[in-house]
Parts: sequence; structure tokens; C-alpha cells
Amino acid sequence: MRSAARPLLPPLGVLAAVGVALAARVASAGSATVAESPGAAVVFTALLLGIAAARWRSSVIHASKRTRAARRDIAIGVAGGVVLVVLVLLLPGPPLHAWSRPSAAAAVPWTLLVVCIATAEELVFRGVLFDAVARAGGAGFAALVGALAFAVEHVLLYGWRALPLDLGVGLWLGGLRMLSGGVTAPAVAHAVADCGAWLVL
Amino acid sequence: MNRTTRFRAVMVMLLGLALATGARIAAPLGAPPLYDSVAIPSPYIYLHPSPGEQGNPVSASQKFPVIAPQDVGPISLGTDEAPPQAQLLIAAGSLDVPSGAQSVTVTIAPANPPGVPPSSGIIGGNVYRFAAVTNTGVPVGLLSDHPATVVLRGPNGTAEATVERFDGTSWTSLTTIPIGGADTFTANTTRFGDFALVGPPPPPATNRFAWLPWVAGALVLVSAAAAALFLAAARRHRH
Repeated sequence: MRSAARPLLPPLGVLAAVGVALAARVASAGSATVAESPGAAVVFTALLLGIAAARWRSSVIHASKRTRAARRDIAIGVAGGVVLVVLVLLLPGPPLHAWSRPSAAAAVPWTLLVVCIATAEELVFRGVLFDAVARAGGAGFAALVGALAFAVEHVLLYGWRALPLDLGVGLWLGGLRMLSGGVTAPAVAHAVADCGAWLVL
Repeated sequence: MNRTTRFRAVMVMLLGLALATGARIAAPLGAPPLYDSVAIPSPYIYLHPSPGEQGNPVSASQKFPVIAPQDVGPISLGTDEAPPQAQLLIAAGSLDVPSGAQSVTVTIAPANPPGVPPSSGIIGGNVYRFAAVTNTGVPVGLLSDHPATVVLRGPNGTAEATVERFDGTSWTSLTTIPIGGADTFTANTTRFGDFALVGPPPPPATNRFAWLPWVAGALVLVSAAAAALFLAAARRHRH
């Protein structure tokens, strides 16, 4: 892992940039509901990747790791994602169908888009934002701030009722970031959870 | 990584898992079955479609045998769209099943809108008729203090709506909870009947920012290509 000499964007700058990305997502959704617009999701993903790129030099994102360590991070991520899927399996909630699964024809592009969104979010929330906050307040505080930002971001998509769940999941992903020392594990866990919860259940 | 860091990481993970578990247990209604994604509902199917809209919505009907004295157990029924345009959830022991009934058939069917329009807005999507009858055709109602949950999905982009029930002469607004993301709203009712989503007129379909996704997609592709070239050049330089 490589530590930064000087952050390019302070934590508040990262949060403000995420806010701009969210506003762009809402604007580009037009008359459609935000969570239903793949185009708006592409805009959001592109902007998040831009935020991550702006902090490329000062982040641990590009830290080179040995293959063995990378495999370990992927394994941690898969395990972390499976835990989240199992959570949904064990506690499915009422038999209420409010979310549609992608059709067979749309499964591949949908999966690619979901993986891109999950990766971009992790690069920002458990990557650049985590690094920036951790320098000021420590890793635990960084995990909390990242989880809060992650939860608030999803309020726009799913309403306030989703906030506690997303806060908890954000902390889980932040813990994976602390445990593994990089964004690979939370990114893999996030992608596995999203795809698993939608495609398997 | 030292032991303290690992301990703190595990503590943060356990705290997150406890919170997520509590959230699933305490408030599962409306919580999405995922943490981030893009929900793409099927196009709305209208009973009376306008040009360019899909028509011929389906009904849902299921017969439930009486399994306990005057009870058919919990009921969960929905139409076949993805996600369903209309759903009904009834807890066990909520139906007022007449003695002697052998089964109860619960039906959700699209219905013509009544002649009386709602005063609080316009109907979004179809009116759905929710009904329950015994095997002998006797209507079955709900016991007092045992409400059923009606779930209605509106046309894509329905951001704001209230579930209303038509009692034959007028519309009654029900306390409505939006289920974020997919144009879906839920309300409890103490009576069956005709239900619909009522809200403000939908916004015009034009989108001034329709070009944004294309620009963003192009940027992603260009960035990915540039990153690949950069990495390739860096690798050549190292060698």
C-alpha cells in the first residue's frame, strides 16, 4: 500500500463531487424514476470514476500488490458478498414484489452495468473518500463516513426506508476495506451482493 | 496488518452486519432486496391503452382452501407483470370466512374506471378490483382490525401517488407508503373494492438531458482506452 504525499481533494471535496454526480444522475433520468434509468446510472458511474481518477495519485487504489495478496482480497470480497446474499436469503421480508429481475436478454448488459456501478462506488466510498478521511480521523471513522455517504446516496434511489440497511451494508464494506487494506475486497463483495441478490434470489 | 487493526475491522463489520440484520427484521417492507442496482420494470400494461402503449393487462385469481376453522391462512397474490402491477397481502386470520365455506377465491382484476373521478388528482394506470368469495359465491370481507395490504405499481416514472379506494360513490385516500424505486405504492385497507393510484399528471416525456448518458458512456470508453494505452506504455517502459 502506498501512502499519499498530499491529497488532491479533501474529504468534503469528494463528498461535494459525489453530490454533483448524484444531481447529474437525477437530471439525466428525466421523467423516469432515478433507479429505473440505465442511462442515468451510466452518467453516475462515469462521474464516480472521474472522482476516483482525480485522486488516482494519492489513493491506495492503484497500489500494486502481489498476485497472492490480490487473490486473498478477491476471496475476502467473495466471502463478504456471500454473507450479504445469505442475509437476504434468511430475511427475505414480506412476499412483496416491488423490484423486477432483468430479463434473460438483458442479463449480461445489466450485470456489467451493476458491476461497474458497484466498482465505481467502492472506488469512491471505500477508496478515495476512505483515504481522505482516514488521514484525518483514522480508519474506523473513515468507514463510518463512507457508510453514511453510501446510505444517503441510496436514499435518492430507494427512499428513506432503505437508509438503515444501506448504512449497515456500508459499514460491512468499510470493514472489508480495513481488513484487506484495499478496495478490491469491498468492490468484489458489493458486486457479488448486488448480482447475487437479484439474479439468484 | 497488526492485531489491533484487524480487531477494529472485524468490529466495524459486525456492527454493520448487526445494523443490516436489524433493518431487515424491523422494517423489511419497502426495503429493496439489493444494495445498489438498476431496476428496469416492464412497461405498464393498460386496460385502455393510448397509441404506443401496451394493452390487455392480466388478472390474478387463486383458490385458498379453508385449512382452519374459518381461516385460509396467509394470502399473497399478484398479477403476472414484472414487478406485478397489483398485489394483495393478507395475514392469516384476517378474512371473515363464513362458517361452512370450503374455500375462498381471491381475485385481482383490472376494472373500468368508475364514472366519478377522484377529486385529488388523476388515476395513474389501471383501476384494480380486489375481491374474495367463498366456493358458494358469498363475498368475503376482512375482519375488523385485520387490514389487508394493497400494493399498486403505476406507469414508469410515477414519483408521487396515493392509493385510493372507490366505495361505489366516492374515492377515499388511504395512508400510502411509496416503495422506493419502482413506481410502487402500498396501503392498508379494511375493505375490498376498486383501488387505483391517484396523483398529479405525469410530467412530459421530454428530457433535456437525454444526451448526458451518451456523453458519459463515450467518456467511459475513451477513459478505459486511454488507461489501457497508458498501462501498456508503462509496461513497455519498464521492460
